[in-house]
Amino acid sequence: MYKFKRFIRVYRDFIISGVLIFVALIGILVGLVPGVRRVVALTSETNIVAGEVRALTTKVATLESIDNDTLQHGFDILMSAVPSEKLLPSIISSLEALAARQEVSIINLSLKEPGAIATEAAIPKNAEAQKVGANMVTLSIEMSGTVDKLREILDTAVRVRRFFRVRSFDMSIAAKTEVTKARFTMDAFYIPLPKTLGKLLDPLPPITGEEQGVIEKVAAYPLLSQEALTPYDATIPTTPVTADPFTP
Amino acid sequence: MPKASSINLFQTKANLPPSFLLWDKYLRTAAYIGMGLLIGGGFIVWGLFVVIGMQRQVLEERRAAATDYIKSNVVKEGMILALRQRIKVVSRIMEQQVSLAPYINTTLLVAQPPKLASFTMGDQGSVNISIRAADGYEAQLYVKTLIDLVGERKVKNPILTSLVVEKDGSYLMSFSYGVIL
Repeated sequence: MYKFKRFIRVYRDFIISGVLIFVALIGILVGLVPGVRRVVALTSETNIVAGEVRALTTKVATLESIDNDTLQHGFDILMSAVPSEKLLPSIISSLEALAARQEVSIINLSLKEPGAIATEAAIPKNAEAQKVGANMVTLSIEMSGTVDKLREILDTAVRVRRFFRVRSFDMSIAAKTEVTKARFTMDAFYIPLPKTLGKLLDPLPPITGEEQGVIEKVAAYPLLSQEALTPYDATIPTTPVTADPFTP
Repeated sequence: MPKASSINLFQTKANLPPSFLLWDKYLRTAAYIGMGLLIGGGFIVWGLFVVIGMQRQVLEERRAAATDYIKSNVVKEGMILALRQRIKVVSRIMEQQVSLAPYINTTLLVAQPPKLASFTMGDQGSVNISIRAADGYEAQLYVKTLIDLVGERKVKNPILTSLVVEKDGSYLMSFSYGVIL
């Protein structure tokens, strides 16, 4: 006992320093290091959340920047030019209106594959459709009128709603009667609406001035048929995209 | 009880070697540094934890609010997405919507109905036409007109593809040429 007391007395400072160092080491290893790790992890998690908040805030700003009426107006205009479905009545009525405006008569109108039974996804897009990015209904139309009127049709057919593209054109003029018959091969376009929305964090950039310019340019084209106007409410995607496509 | 005049000769510290005294000094310093690190570092880490935690809380609230807003505007988002998709495709279609009327305009410079019998658009901006001419002289005039239009850089590569003399002496000529727009 005497030896122990003497040991304590002699090495007291060593012991105190040793105990303090031991406590500090244990404290650093058990408390400080995990604490620093947690702070680092929390910082990186917070940075991720901050990034998400930035993305979401940008998205909210985009949603707030466009008022519903402007959006609806632009959407209606584009849908009247390129609807979401084939809308064969709108093709026919637009062509009839075009012919009526130029006082020419339609002799014959035939549609190539007017009614596909398969769903849109199952229909293989040909090279032309892939190039344009839209589905097409190809039609052949025969008209009768004067050369000038048919020339006008050729000119205005590519500047009306709904949209047409003249693929080929030929005409023949009868020698005695001067009756001109012309055959147009045309494409009408349609694009199905997207089925799903993007992910919540997917960016949604605002409509640019250039994009607005396209809408205004299309709006300047005359609308030949009211049938080209389709209701959109029921067809707008509202389902968020799922990571697994087989998940219902 | 020691008397006031007595001297305590009992040594409170053993005589340690000088190297031990040096070690004692180092150990004490190390102990101070270690404890300082633990206490100071602890305060700093705790402070950072609280501040970052509060920031995180604020961000979480903002994220929740933004998410709610976006979820309540899914129709609008869908319309914007559909609109943007359409704008891209519509632009591409408009680039391909070329009026073929200038081809007819150029052709009408060569011949007008009823002399112009037919007009057909060929590949890559070429045009095939057939013209009725009453006689050889008129046929020659049409050829000359085409050559003049080449000089005016309105048509290129004109080719007489066929020439038929009808029973009544009239000519049916077919030309092909490219139109310079």
